[in-house]
Formats: sequence, structure tokens, C-alpha cells
Amino acid sequence: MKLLQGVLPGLLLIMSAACDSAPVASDALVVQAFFQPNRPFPTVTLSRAVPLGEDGIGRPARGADIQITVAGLEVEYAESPEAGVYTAVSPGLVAPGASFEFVARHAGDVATARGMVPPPMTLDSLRVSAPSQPIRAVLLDSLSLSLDTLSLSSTGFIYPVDVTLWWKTPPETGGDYWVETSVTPLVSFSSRLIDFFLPSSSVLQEPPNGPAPLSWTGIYAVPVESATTPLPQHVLRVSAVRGDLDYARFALSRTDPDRREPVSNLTGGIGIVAGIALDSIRVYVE
Amino acid sequence: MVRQARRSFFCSPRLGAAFLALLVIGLAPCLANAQRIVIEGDRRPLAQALSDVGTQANVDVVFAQRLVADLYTNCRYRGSDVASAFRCLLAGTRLEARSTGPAQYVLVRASAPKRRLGIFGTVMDRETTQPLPGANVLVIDRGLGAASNRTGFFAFPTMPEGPHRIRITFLGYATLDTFVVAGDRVHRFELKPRALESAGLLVESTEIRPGDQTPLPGMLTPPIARLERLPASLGGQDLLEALTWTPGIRRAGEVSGGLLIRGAGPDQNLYLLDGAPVYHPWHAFSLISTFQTETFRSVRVYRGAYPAEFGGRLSAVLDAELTDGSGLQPRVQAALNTHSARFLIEAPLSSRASFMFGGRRSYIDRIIGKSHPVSDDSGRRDTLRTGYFFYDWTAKLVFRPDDRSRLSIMSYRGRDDLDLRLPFDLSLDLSSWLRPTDLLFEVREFWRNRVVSTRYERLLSERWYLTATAHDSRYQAEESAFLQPSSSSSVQSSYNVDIRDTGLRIDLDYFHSARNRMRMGVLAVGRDFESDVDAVVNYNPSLTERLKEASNSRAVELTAYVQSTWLATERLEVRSGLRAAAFGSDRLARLEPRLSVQWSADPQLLVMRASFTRSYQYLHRIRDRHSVLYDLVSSRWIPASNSTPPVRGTEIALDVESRPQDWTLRASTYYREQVHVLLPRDAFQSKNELAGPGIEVGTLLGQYESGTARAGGVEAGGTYQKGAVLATLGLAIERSVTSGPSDGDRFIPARYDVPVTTRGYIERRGQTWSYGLGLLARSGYPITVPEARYAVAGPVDDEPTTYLFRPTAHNGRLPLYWRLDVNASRSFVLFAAQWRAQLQLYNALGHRNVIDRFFEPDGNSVHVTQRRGLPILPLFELRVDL
Repeated sequence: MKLLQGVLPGLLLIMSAACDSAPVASDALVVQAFFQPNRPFPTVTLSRAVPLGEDGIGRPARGADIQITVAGLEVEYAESPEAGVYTAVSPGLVAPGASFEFVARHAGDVATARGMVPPPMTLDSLRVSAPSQPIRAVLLDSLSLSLDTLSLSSTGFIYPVDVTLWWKTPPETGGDYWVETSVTPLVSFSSRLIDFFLPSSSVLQEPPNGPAPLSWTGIYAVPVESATTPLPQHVLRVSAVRGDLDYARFALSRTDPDRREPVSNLTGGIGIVAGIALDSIRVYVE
Repeated sequence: MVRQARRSFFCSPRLGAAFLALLVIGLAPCLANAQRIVIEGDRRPLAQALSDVGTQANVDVVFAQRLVADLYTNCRYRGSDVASAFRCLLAGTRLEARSTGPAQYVLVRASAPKRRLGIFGTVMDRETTQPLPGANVLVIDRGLGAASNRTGFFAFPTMPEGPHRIRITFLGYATLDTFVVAGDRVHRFELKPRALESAGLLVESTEIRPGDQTPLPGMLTPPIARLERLPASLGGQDLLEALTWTPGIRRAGEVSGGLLIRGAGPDQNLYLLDGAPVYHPWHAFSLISTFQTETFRSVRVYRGAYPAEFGGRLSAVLDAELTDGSGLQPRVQAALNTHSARFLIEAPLSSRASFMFGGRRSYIDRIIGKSHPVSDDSGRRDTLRTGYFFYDWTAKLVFRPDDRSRLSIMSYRGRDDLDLRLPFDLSLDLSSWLRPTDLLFEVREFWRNRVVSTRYERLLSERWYLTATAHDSRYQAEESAFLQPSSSSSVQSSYNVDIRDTGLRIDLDYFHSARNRMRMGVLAVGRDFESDVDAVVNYNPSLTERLKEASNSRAVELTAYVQSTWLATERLEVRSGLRAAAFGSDRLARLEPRLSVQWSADPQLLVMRASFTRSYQYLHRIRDRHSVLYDLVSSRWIPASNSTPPVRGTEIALDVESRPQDWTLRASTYYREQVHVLLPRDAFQSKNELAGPGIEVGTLLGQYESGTARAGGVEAGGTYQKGAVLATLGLAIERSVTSGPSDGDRFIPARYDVPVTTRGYIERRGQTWSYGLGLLARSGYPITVPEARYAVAGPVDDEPTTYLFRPTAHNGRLPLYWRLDVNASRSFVLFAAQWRAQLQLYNALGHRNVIDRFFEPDGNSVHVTQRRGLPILPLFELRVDL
């Protein structure tokens, strides 16, 4: 019995130590920077993730050392008056197609990333259309019934609004670029079931042999009180962001914060440092 | 250099002379004997003829005069071979000239031609005439033991002439002691059941030698009578549930999910029903298995260490044989429990044929109805549907044309069918469900297994035993859905999976000697995998997307194996084997060596085993991890190829077993490594899209990456059975980990890693009342726990979004899971039938276990949602035996 008492916990301990992965620091270095064509060198935001027992959503990372190389030239960065924000010391523009390398050092951590700046992005046109009357929809479904969360479902009325946007792909990209499209009303609406039928964002791979016209249609919903309520005036943001595969992974995985964090392209840190090209339009819908 | 040295050797004059001298010396006796011998053929005394030949051949012939007295020969011979000359002279005399040295012969009586003697037999149940596989047969005077094969046959070839004392033991049967004279006859041994059926008591023999019953580490041969006593979680009798009382075997979910054996995934188990594979052996969304305990004659479970005759899966093989049907008198059994009703009929058709037929069906659809016509005040009509049922039926026909052969045909069919058409906005007011509505969902899902197996067995000679098995196993599943959550959007989808596995295998047992047996065989299997999806998503009237894809593949597997069982000494048994397989269009060829050793320090009290097993799994089970419309309940298998190599498993295991008095005690340890395991590329991906990326194999494989899985553990268990009491207790301490490129090649706990599991059951079965108490306690499953919080904004976001940082998958664990189940039953006689009524309380203490936990960012805090397990559930069963 004594043997069992001694051996079994020891065995468990040995197996646990041998099998489990090494712990990762919970105050990871969080980096955010986007290199855009024909735009000034980007602002770099550095912070530290906050352990769950503490308040806040991030601590600014002060006193970091930033090394950025764009198209083979080193760009000097310094901390701005805003804590955790770093800017280029000398002004300059990022050229389309330029490669970049990024290194941030802070509190013993080194975060690195590299990438390419894509060609500029321009939305050619867009079209917004909404039905003349709202439709009835399930706002709170009961498919997630469980013994612990018996929820009463409800129906209501929404205006599903279509937005179609057009743009042209750059010539001869080799299929290296992806475009994140989105339509975002400033007052958002969300329902677990209906969200499946509201493709308000998407990530598409651009064809390799451009230039070619591309289009995408997104849908968002505006809830209303009754079947006779007219479509309320609201503001909508339409955007298209071109980036590489790293950015596409980030974009695809950042839309569900309740379930997961976005995929990071940084080594030694989390967040995103990517080359992107974006075009964004605000639309007033009446 | 070597060639040069050789040339030097033969070219050396000295060495060449020496070689020549040796040659001459060595050939001298031959040259001396090379005389011309002439025997004219006239009749004369044998003694004289022998002397003549001796003289002519220049050899001495020694013989006793009494041997040759009154014997004559008229042999005629001309030649130089002295042995042939003697054979000619001695033909018909029962004498032979035996060479005892150079140029010297002795005349002796010729030994009688050797007869092949052995002890051969078939062990059967005296009451049902069913063969008893796994019966212990012991030749006491020779210290030899063996277990009967699946048809009850055993063989001890090359036994000395004369009577031998035989003892045959089998769980639940009276020990048979008898004498058998070695010969070439196949004896029939009938064992008398010792189970006192009226009282439900099972008396087990204490003379069973564990080394003969379970010769491999981890192997289980639980008697069906004992399995029938172990309750299923949701009541009734369930073979796979009964196995979970064994350490190291458990369900993936609380009461559902596949069988996890020693930390491996449920897709790594091979379920064989009379030799035919069953791809999805579950009903009711994996709540209930398709294996009804009472329909089986025998069950063998090989965990990790399995003989070369089995392959294709890495974790375990469950080799189950359906009952032949009673051979003497008809037997009918029927039962009704919480979820289904079932029956079993067994009867003899003639003195050489019998059959069994069993069936089961759920009845909830009979209570709540399948379709419900509804209308509202406006006169609108609709028909809502709430149909769900499952059924299965099993039939087996056995024909024994003679004492040496046996033919069986088995058919199994099982199906689950779900058909729902309901409004989305359900509420606790059940009457609100039954009304016409525009916003509704329809779900239609079915999955079914159809298995046919034919097996012919024949004792070809006293050494060769043939088994030929042909099977056709088909698994089909359909998942159809129509969802209309708003008046302008809907989705309609249809997804089908069809797997067909058709094969033929020939097995040959060769009983070389009492200590040496071999089994060899070939297997040819063709597998077809077909699936298609057609999904139309109407986001609104102007935006529709359609996903229409089909995926078909076919793989042929050719396998050959040979395995040997060698009883090196009375205590040491060595089993070795080699399995060779060629698989698929890429002609993947792999060798799988197997080796196990068993040492019986004491046949009853201490048996130790060790094994090494290399095996390959050529089928990968994957599912789309994005779409909510398909891959929900169906199993999707893809064959291995050059680009997706088969999973290679290597396992070593040690095992110690002892059966003192009324106890069976066993302790095991094992370590297993699997490479080329498909692991999810993104551990956080879950089904969150209507139509995912599609069902093309390449697309699906893109969601997985090749990794490594390891598992190791220690298991200890014991069973006590005496009189009315049955108690079983098991403890498993194990770890299973995986590693893939996405994990940075670090090992993290596997999805079903459970470090500690303990489970016990105690039952007292009296003449009238019986009581049982079951306890399960295990570590919680791994979960991914966030460790920090951070915020990141996209390039067009006005505000950053807060995320929870989960640096490592499976870095946390759910709390301890435990529950207590109790049952009580009463046996009684009514209308000349034996009845048994049982009441079972699942989770009798109502402990609400945490079975999942979710974390969501909530401002500066984290919102934690917990999913809890089932509360206390009353279950019942009423059973009658005629």
C-alpha cells in the first residue's frame, strides 16, 4: 500500500512533467502595425496582455526598441508621447511592393514579423438596396436549448440590406493577395441564427492573372419595431482591405472574439504586423 | 582482397596437397564399400544371404540367430549399394539393417510405422449445443494447456500413445475431468452450465488458467454472463457500455460518444461482428451501441497487443461472435426498457442446424407521434413532424453438415431515423410548438449499417483447420436540412455518405505439435467511399450560393499474415507474427511485426505477459470543421495515400494477472506512439458557417496536419465473484498527448486525455431481489483556458476588439467527474415464465458534473459559461424469459 501511495503520485508527476507543454507567459507582447502603400511609415502600437486576474485590456509597452526595415532601408522609430505608441522619427512613404522586416524588443521579449506591401486598393463603385418592407425573422432561436439554458425564443422584424461593391485586381499578383471585404453599420445588430444569413464580411483570394473586375455582395440587418416601420436612417462603413496570406488568416479569425483570438503572424508576440492596402467608404442610408 | 586470398589458398601447393589428403581420407570408407554386390535370387536361408552380402561388401553384419531363424529370401540384386542390398534381403521380414559405424551393420526388428496420434475435440454447451470458444483444455499428465478456438475446437497433435487425463474448464460451467486415448478422432466434450439461472447466480470456476484465456497483454475475454450483469448507463444491456467497467475503456462523452481505449481516439477501434467490420456501431447519436449483449456467444477485446491476424486499426479490436442459437430447445426472451423494446429467439432447426433472430426498436415516436397536422385561427394548415426511431435486427443461421465442418450466415441491419419539422421559436409551452409557421426548420437524418457475413469452418485433418469468411458491410448516412429563419432567407442542404467494405479472408490453423501452433491467412478487401453534398443558401432573394460537390474514392487492401504460438516450456509461451499489407492505388506496402511472451510463474496465481506490436491504420476519419450543415453525425473515412500516409502505431505492453480463489486481479502498463496522425490544424476552429469549404478530400485534409500521438499508462483492476456477489473495481492512470506543427511540435494533452479514472460496481443477486451500486470518478477532460486579455484593432476598426489570450490548447482541465448509479431488481415467475423487473437510477445523487466550460471576454472580466451533465434519471427494464 505504501508502495502504491509513493509510486503512483510520483509516476503521475513524472508523466505530467514529461508530457505537458512548457508554459507561455500570459503577459505576451501585443503588436499592431499596418504598412500601407503610398502612406507614411506606420504607427506601431505595443502593449502587454493583461493576466485575467488584473484589470484592463492591455498595458502599454513603454521603452521598447523598434527596428523596422522597409525595402532594405532601416527606418528609425521612437516612442511617441502616447504610451506604447511608436512612430517613425523621419517622415517617409511606403512604396507598393516593398518588403519589410519588423523587430520589437520589450522586457526581454522579441517579436518579429516580415511581409510585403500590396498594391493600392480602390473601390470602384458600390450599390445599396433594401426591401420596401421589413421581413419577419427569428431574433432569438431555441435551437440551443439545454437543460441549463432554457431560453424562450422570439421573432421580430428586420430590413436585410444588400451592399455590392466592385474593385479591380492588380495586374499579375500571382495569387498572393487576399481581400477582406466588410459592410458595417455603425449601430450593429446580431442574432445567432440570423447571423448565418448575414454575410457582412468575407475574405476572398484575388485571381492570379489580373487586372480583373471583382465584386462582392454583403448583407446586414437593421431591426425595426413592426411590419410597418420604415427603414431607419443609418450610417454604414464599407471597406476592402488587400493583404497577404498572413493578413487573410488574421482577418478570418478575428471575427469571433467570444470563441477565439485572431491568428497572429508574429514570432515571439501576438497581434498583427502586415502590409495592407485599404479603401473605406462611409455611406448614409435613408 | 577476399578473392585474392581465396586464389592464394587453392594455389598454394602445400595447402592443396593437404586438401587432397583429407579428401582421400574422408572418402576412404566410401571407396572401401564401393564393391560389386551380386545376389542371384534363388531361395535360400536369410542368415546365409546376409553373410554373403557382408562378405561381398566387406562389411560386418551382426544379428541374432533367433531373428532370422526359419526365414528365407529370394531377393535378386546387382549393384554397389550395401544398404539397398540389405533392404532387398529383408523385404517382408519386419527386420532392418541399421548402420552402427563404418562398415558395420546390426540387424534389428523394424520399428512400426509412426502413427500420428493426438487429442482433438470440440467443447460445447450441453444444454444448447453451442460451441464454447475460449474454453480451457488441460492435458494434466503432460502439463499442456490450450484454449478452444471460436468454434470450440482444440488440438494437441503428436501426443504419446495411450490414455491422457483431460480437464476442461470454462467460466460458468462445471469442470469436466475425463480420460481420452490419443488418436485421430475428434471428440465432443459437453460442459454442463453451473449457472443457477432461476436465482441468477453465476458460479465461476476457479480452475481457469488465465494464461490460456487471455494470452496477450490487455486482452479481454469477458464471459457474456458477466457482461449481462454489468449495467449500461442508460439502462438495458449494452456490450460496449459493459466494457467500460474495465480499466482503460471509457466513453468519449458523459453517456455518449465513441469508445476510448487507452487514450486513443474512437476511430482507432475495429469492431468485428462475426468477422465483418461495423463502421458506426451506435444508435441514438451514440447514446446506445448496436451491440446487444445477450445476442453474443463470445467477445474478445484486444487492446493494443493483437495478433497478426488482426490489423487496420491502432487502438483495439473487438471481435464479437453472435450466438449460434440454442441447439436443443427453443428459447425466447423479450424486454422493454426506457428507450427501446427488444426480443431474441433461438431455436434448433434440426439436429445439425440452429438459428437466432433478435430485434430491437425504440418507441418514443410511438408515444409522441411522428406527424402532427396543425391549423390556426386563419384556417392555415401544416403538418409538423417529430419523428425519431432506431431499430436493429440480427439473424444468424448455423448449419453443421458433419462433426468436422460448420457453416454460418449472419445478417445485421440497424438504422436511425430522425425527421423533424418544427418552428424555430419553441418555448417551454409545448402546445406552442404545434402551430403553422413560416419560420421553421426541417431536419432529416438517417444512418444505417447493413452487414452480412458468411463463415465456413472445417477441420481438414488432425493438423489443419480452415476458416473462410466473406463479408459485406455497408454504412450509409444522410443529413438533410431546410432552415428558414426569416421570410427572405433559407438554406436547403443534402449530404450523403456511403461506405462499402467487401472482403474475403481465408485463415488456416496448423497444429504442428502440442507445443507449436501456427495460424496463417490472406485477406482481400475492397472499400468504396462516396459522399456528396448539395447545399443552396438563399441569403436573400438576390443573393444565392450553391455548394454542389461529390467525392469518390476506392481502395483495395491485400493482406497476408502468419503467426506462431510456441509453448517453449510448460511456463513460457511465445507468440510471434508478421502481417504484410498492400493498400490502395498508391500501393502502400507495410510490414507489421508482432511479438508477445507469456510467463506463467504459477498457472493460477501469477502470469506475466509482454508484447511488442507494430500496426498501421490505412483509413483516416475526418470531418469538415466549418459547416453546420454536414458532417454532423456521419463518419467520413478517407483512404491513406502517398500524400496522406497511414498512421503507424508502435506499442509495448506489460501485464500481470492472478486468479486467487474467487478473485481475478490484473495490472497492466503500456506505452504507445503513433505517427502521421491527422490533427486539427486550428484547434480553435469550430463549426460556425452554413456551407463550409466543401467536401473534397484535399479541402478537408487542409483542415488537418500530420502529427504524433503518444499515450502511456498503468491499469489495475480486480473482480470478485462468489455466490451471489459480484464486485469489480478498476483504476487507470494514463496520459495521452499529441503534437503537431501548430503546437510548435510541443506535446499537449490530447482531446480525451484523462489522467485518472476509477470505476467500480458491486452487485448482490439474490433469489428474488438484487441490488447494484456503480461508481465512476475520473479527471475532467482537457479544456483550453485563457490566461490573459488583450486588444487589437483591424485596419478599419474605430475601436480595438478585446480578445482572450489562449497561448496553449488544452492547458486546463474540467473538474473531477463523478457519479453514483444504483439499481434494484426483482425476479419472479408469472405465467410460467421467468420475469425480471429492474429500476435504475442514473446519477442517483443528482451531482451536476461540469462537462464543458466556455470563456468569453466581458469588458474587464471574463464571462464563464458551464455546461452541466445529466441530472438524476430514473430508468427501468422489464424482461421475460420463456
